[in-house]
Amino acid sequence: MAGFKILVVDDEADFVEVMRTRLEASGYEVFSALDGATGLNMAHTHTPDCILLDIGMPQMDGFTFVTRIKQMQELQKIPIIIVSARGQDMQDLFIQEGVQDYLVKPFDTQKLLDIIRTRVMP
Amino acid sequence: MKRYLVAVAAAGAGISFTGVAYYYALELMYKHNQTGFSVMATREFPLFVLMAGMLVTVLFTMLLLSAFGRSQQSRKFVIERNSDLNTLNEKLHGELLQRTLVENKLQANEEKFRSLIDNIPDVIWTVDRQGRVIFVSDNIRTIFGYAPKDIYARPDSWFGVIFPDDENRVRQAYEALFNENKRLDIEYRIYRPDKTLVWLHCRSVSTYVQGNISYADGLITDITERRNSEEKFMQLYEAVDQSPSIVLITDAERRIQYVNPQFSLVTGYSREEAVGNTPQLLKSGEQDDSYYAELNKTVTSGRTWEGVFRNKRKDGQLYWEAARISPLRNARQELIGYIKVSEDITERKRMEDELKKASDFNETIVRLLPVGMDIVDLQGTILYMNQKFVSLFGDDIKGKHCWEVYKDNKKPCEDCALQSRIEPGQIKTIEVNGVCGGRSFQITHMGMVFENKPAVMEIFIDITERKRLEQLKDEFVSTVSHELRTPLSITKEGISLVLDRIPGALNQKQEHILSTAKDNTERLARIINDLLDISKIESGRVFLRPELIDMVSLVTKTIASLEPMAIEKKLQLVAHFSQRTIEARIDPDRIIQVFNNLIWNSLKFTHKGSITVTVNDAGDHLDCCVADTGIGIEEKDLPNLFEKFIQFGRVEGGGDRGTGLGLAIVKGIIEMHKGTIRIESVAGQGTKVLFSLPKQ
Repeated sequence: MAGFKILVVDDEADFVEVMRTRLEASGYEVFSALDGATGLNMAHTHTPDCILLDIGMPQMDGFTFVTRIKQMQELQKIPIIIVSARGQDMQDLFIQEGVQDYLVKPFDTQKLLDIIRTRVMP
Repeated sequence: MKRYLVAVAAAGAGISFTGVAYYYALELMYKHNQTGFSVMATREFPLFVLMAGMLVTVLFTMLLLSAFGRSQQSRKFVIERNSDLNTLNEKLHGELLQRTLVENKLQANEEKFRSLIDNIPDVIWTVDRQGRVIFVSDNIRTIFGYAPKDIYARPDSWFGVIFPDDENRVRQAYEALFNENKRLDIEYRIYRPDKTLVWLHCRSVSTYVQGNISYADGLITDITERRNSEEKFMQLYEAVDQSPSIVLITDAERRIQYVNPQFSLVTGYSREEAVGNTPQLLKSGEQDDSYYAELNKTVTSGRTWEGVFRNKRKDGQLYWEAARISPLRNARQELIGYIKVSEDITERKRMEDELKKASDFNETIVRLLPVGMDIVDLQGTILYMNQKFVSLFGDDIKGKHCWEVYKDNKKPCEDCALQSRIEPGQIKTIEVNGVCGGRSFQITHMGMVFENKPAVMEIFIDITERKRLEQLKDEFVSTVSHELRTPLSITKEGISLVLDRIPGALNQKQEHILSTAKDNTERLARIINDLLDISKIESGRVFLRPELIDMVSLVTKTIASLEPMAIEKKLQLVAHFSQRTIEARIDPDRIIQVFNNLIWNSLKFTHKGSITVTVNDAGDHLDCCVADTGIGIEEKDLPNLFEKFIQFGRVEGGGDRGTGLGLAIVKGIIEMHKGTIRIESVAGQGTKVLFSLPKQ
């Protein structure tokens, strides 16, 4: 999947590390941030094709990240996939913000790759 | 004397005659002397005449005397006869008069007799030996309901109307009357034309013969009323005699006239011993005189006295007796005695005393129970409360509903148990927050009867601390689970990366070890998910998201996702549906979880054969079943299947292992959908999990 940029925003460096390895092995270009605020900046800077977003993070949590990015015209169309250790209890909130994809850790890697592929392909 | 007077008179008359005859003889002689008369015209002639006269006088006197005597006798006879005749005449006259009188009287009597016969309420009858009715008085209409002519017309009328049970007896009595001249005195029943029964008293003294035919006269009295009252009396008497109550009747002087057998049974005194005595016989002396004085005062004033006696039996034992004593009066309202109806309540009193003790004991326990308790009517008005209730919520309860007393917002609870009627013995428990200043209480409602009215007992258990701990536990489970998930996902992903050979090549052994590690990270993930699920279900934090879903496609998709595992184990996995589409309003994620868990269990415990999933539309609900031909479950294990962390028939070594939470979660989800679930299983043959889900 050469050419597609994925932004991984998660406060767990180890998680970001394995995700980077997996996604790069699948041919994506990977950017990462360990908190929401940095993630938002990275999104501005790199305009990724897809964002993998954690919920529980310092500085700015995932939900605030989504509400912010949805207010930015140039970024609001970027597909976001929630990848969280929290259960499905917050799924409804994200759906209301237009975020459909919601995976609970630990998830099936193949399933994640399938979702990313469908979202980044026009 | 009279006779002598007659004789003297006759002699006198004879002499006078003689004298007169001598005078006329002298004169005649004188005359003849003058004329020349010759024969007698001698000097001797007057003497002759005198002597003849004398003779005539004597003869005459004698004749007269004799005649006089004879006439006196006849006269006396005549007088006597005359008097006899007179007497006879008078007697005859009197008898004639009498006879006329008698005749008149007879006539009057006959009329009277007729009127009597017609007017007396009895029937006068004459029958012959064959039972043919010769005469019946008109009154037979009233008693028998037949006119005399009907009776005469029917030869069998006399015996034909008799009540069958009595007929033989009556016939025998008539036989005895005619054959043995035995008085007839019999009571029997007859049927009137309207089929009502009438009791008769039939009497006849003897028979008589007229023209070679025997007849009997008699009298029949309608005794129906008497018999009925006798029967009633007998019933009453029997009732009194057989009564389980003690009955004692005294005369006005309070001497016992009657006691029933129950009296003897209770007191030990026979009827013979009691009659003639006074009720003092039973006096134990345990009650003072004023008690009896009050009783006397009541009954002598004509009222009924009710009370309890401590009496003494013949054997000296004491007993309790609850009695009613009333004066007895005759029809003229004169006091004729007293009647006492009583019961031996010794045992009852003992039980009452024990009950009272027990009830006092219970009352004390309830009052002092360290748990708040009140009793409310079905509208929630407080009727009773214990000490703890007062210490929790105060005692200002007058006219207040229970929620106005214990709820912080003074409003009924959301799931107020009183809204649905709680039958006595039924229990409904709710948990209420915001009680007594922000605390939480479990309120157990139990239907009961209080003071003869349906009521509800409410028991208040402060669960604030428990709730806090539960919340802590939930938070803990949640936090731990979430905290576990991230490292778990990193581990799993790391292993996956190596297994996918992204960092480089692997030998077979390395691959096998990493595969096992990966399987176990997945297992750990399932445990975490199940733990979180059950924790949320138990604390009621799972909110269903019901949608109108086609169960056919839902089940088909679920089966498809598990198909690979079935193929791997060479098992058939099939589904049957009653319709092509079966719609129901359910939470699809949760119901998928249910089918997933159940099919997964079946796959795990079935080694050959099939797993069949059935969904049937049963009108307002769905009947679902997951059946397998697996190892089954021992009967003793069936009741515990839905408990947490319970696992049966675990496959030794290898394979996917469960969490022991699957069935508990399934049950939780089905119950959240207001459905029911049960399991049928025969060890060695297979297991069926059957559940129903409401369609709405």
